[in-house]
Amino acid sequence: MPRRQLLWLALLLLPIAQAAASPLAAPEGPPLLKVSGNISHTNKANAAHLDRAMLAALPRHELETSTSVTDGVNRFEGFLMRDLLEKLGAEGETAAAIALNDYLIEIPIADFHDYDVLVADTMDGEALTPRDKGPLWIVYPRDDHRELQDIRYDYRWVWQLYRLEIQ
Amino acid sequence: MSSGRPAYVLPGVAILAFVAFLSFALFRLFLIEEDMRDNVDENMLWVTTQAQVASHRFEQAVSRQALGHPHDSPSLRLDVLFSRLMLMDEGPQRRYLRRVDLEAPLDDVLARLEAIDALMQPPAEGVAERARAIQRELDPLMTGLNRIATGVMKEEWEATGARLDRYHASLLQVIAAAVGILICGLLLTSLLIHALRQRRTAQRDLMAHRDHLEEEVERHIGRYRQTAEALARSLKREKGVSEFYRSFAGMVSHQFRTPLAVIDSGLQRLIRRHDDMPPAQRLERYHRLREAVAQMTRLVESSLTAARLDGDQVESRPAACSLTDLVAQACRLQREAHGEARLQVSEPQAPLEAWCDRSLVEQILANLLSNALKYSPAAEPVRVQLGAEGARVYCRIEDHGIGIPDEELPRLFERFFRSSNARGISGLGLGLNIARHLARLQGGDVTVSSVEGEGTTFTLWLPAATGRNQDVEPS
Repeated sequence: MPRRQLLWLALLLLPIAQAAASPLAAPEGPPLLKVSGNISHTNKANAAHLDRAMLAALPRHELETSTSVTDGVNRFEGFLMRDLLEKLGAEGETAAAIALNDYLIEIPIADFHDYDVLVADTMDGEALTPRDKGPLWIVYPRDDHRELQDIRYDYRWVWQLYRLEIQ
Repeated sequence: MSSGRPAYVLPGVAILAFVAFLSFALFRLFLIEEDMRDNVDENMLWVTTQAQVASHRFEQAVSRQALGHPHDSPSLRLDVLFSRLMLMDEGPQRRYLRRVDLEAPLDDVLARLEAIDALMQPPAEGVAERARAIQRELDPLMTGLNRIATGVMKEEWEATGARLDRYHASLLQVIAAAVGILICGLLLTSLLIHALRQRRTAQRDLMAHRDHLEEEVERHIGRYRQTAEALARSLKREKGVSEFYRSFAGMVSHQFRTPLAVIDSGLQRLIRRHDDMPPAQRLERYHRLREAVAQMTRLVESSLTAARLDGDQVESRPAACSLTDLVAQACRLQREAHGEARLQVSEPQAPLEAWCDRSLVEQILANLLSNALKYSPAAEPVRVQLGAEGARVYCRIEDHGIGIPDEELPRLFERFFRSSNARGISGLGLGLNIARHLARLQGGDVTVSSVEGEGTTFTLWLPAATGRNQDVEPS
């Protein structure tokens, strides 16, 4: 095949590749969550910066469960972690969740497929703030699965979440 | 039933104890499992420490801002500190601190936090001044947090120690229960083995008893069988005897009638013609009458002998006798009684000693010799031959008479058997039977060989006296 034709083919395929690699629009507001690592869709320097509006566009889910640090049953709203990872084309074994206070926990991505793990932005109808456990809180459906009522899952409830790194 | 009750007491108690120990152990283990699940408290030290770290980071950010570092953001650090302290204000954490008497320091810390937040809100008159004001509140806050951390640490270590003590005590109890279970199990096992062994022993005893019974029954049956057989034998003998006497009576009455009739008619004739008869003829009649009487006498004698043999009345008293002498005497008697000169005795070269009863042998010889003379023509001689063969001696008597058919030879020695060609000659059929019987009584025998029409040879066999004590002469 002559070189010239190859070049033409490459030019034709280029927009498709670009579209696949970067379907994300740039965030309009301040980013609430930054996702980096092994993801297909990025919008800023090999990372995906997501503002409140972009996160709100993900399918909404509700979850009622008790936690190990609060009283009674709380109602959480947010999106499923696996929906986010799918949207970003994430592939890997673990997700390192990093909080504002530099708390870093590696969570097996299998968790998000085995359970409906929620990234909550409201608790009992009120938006989570950085002064409480916001802006985002990883919540496991603790009451629905007895095996999740275990300290080995409790440490994966990362609050003040602001970064994810897929490995 | 009362004897069976104690046997069930021990196993019953053992089983009850087994169940009790097992239930207790399971209950204890269940409690431990519950206790281990309850892990809320273990979080508290981490929560407090993180609050302390957050307070230090906040202080650091405030100081750096005061020193002119533009990138540090005290408000973010305050948010984080807020978050940590709000967490301590939540239900479970606050209840924990209340329980360990640390609620007052917490309230103080929260009040200081509000004051710091108020200092952060309005725009400050000067960064350094604000930092000093914040520092005045932050120092006691950090002291309070430190106090809480120490208290929580102490509480958690105490709780852990108490929990370990509890586990220790519970596990000791479980171990004790397990030992109890083990003992009960061993007891039950030994009881089971004992019972099995007892059953096996009882079974073995039962089998032995049964075998013994079988032997006993067998022995009794044997005895009864012997008795029955003895009875059957004696009954058979009795039957034989009575049979014999019936036949004997028939024979005797028939055989006795002939000589009696001869005697009676002879005497009548002598009476009637006494005077007409010449003396020589009369004398001849008397002789014939005597012969008839002698025949009757012989008949009676042989019948008696047969009867005695049947009743086992005849005994042999053997002693060493000269067979040569016995035969010579028997021949002489025959010659004297019948006036016969036909007997030709061939003398043996050496003397023949037999081990026998003299009187019994005399009877046998008399029978055999008279038979030979009776069943052979008056012109023919009768040869008598003596000899020895092995440990036996013999006397062979050979006639040239009518002989005996082959098919009748096997029955010749049967009682009352008479050869078909001996019909015309008087006889009972007892002589040969008696002769063989008497010979066998002494350990000898009588055998026969015959050719019909040519003659018969009878042989008397007797044990030789050689080697026996010849001095022992029976009384």
